[in-house]
Amino acid sequence: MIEKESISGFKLAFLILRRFFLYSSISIISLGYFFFSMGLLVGYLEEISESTVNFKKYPFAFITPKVKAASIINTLFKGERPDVSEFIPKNLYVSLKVNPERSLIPLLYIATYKSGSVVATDENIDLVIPDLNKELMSLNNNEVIVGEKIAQRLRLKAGDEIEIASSLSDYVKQDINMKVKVKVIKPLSLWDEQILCNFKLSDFLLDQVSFVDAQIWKKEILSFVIAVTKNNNETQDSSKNKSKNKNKSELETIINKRTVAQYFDLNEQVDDYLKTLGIDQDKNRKIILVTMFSSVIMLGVFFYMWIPILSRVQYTLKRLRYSKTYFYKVMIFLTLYILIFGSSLGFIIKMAFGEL
Amino acid sequence: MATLKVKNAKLPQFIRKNKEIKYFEVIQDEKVLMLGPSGCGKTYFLEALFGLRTFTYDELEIEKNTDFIFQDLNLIEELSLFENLTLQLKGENLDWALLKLKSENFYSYTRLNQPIKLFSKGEQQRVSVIRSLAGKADLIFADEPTSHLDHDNAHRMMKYLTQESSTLLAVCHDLSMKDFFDKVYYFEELFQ
Repeated sequence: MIEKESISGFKLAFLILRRFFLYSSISIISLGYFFFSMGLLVGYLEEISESTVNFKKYPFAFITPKVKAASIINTLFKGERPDVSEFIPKNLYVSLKVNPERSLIPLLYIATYKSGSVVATDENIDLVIPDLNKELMSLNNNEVIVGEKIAQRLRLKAGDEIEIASSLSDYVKQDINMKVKVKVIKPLSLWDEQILCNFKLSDFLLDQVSFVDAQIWKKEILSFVIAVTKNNNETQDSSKNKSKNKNKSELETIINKRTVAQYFDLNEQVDDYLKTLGIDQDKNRKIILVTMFSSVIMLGVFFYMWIPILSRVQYTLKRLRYSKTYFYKVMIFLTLYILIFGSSLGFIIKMAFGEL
Repeated sequence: MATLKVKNAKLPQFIRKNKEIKYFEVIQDEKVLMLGPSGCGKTYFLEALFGLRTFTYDELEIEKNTDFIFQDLNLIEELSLFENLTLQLKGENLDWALLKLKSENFYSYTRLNQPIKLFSKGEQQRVSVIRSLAGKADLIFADEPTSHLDHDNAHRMMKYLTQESSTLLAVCHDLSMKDFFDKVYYFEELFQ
């Protein structure tokens, strides 16, 4: 006859953990390995989620001030406003726009507002924001489109009036006091932190400050231009594609050789660019897949090898007239022990070798 | 006063076909031995009375405070001698068991903390018997409690078991053990 709970489930679980040392060690190591690989995966996912736009799915090229592409892409990746202190001439955009096959979206970052930024563009912005209702884009000079995050932060709704009190660039601080009506767009990642206005309004805003005078093109400037290199609805006609590629190549050559701007094709260069940032996506994916696969196998082995052990313990306890509840308690405590030790080990490995 | 009384007990078909034990009882402080060949169903009957297996009966009276000495010892091999004792005992009963083990030359810190699998089967059997006796059960079922011991040790252990237990129902193959018991039944003869 057993005396009731002559040994607590907590203690028995610890004894099992200690006495089945080999099995416990393998379990803890495999679980640690599992958590480590999970940590890698989470880190990788965080890295991806930091880039608010998956550039690869956008058929974009950037026309930027020379040697500024990396800086612009990098900040856009993190959902931040590019720190554009150099500009390209607006007349470059006007010249390029003459070709009707080419979709170009000029962007001028003119101000910061709270943690967002004021961006000027023209009616082609709906190419960058495909979900945008075109009706919204018929902006008057006293209207702005406010991204979802800013709208939430400032508790704005459509029709509200806001005062743009901004500090323009890092060089010149000057308040612009102007009331504009608000239109709010639904969440669109990159644009959630932006206030969009048209060029007429931007001209007015730029008139209020003096820093643009330092630029050789005065206020006839752009931060960068997005070139839409492929229409999403285009057919897979090879001759058309060839022609487009040729055009693109010509455009790239002209811009790079004959202008003060730089052509940066996102599709072609994003992988190289990520590598320069230390983000080798293919390598990371392989590492994660291999690690996940092997850790799942190890976990499987771990569960499989505990089955006969726990069956034996259960059989013994049953014949000592312990209740099923008691055995479940032991199992829960044992699992907890292994989880705690395993996750701690995983954490230590992650800290030591996390930067693969 | 009967510590165990069962009427019209019927074991499952695969053990005993169409036969039943009309009446079987063990009186308080009585030491009862059941003899029978291997595979005749003695162990099943004992485990059924202990509540580990199913059987049908018309009437069953049994002490609540019972214990069982298993033929396969029912120890967790990886746990130490001491830990195996604590699975079933604490307090005075644990002290009693430790005292008895001391008299059996088991008692040293090293030995107490050694995994039980490092002990010989005979030693493990003595641990198992002492663990059950320490529980101070009113009725002890013992299934071949000396099967891992040599002849002399088996007799010594059986004598010890019958002396220390209050009421005992044991099964065994060894006819020479019958002298230690108050009553001896041949399992086959219980069935009608």
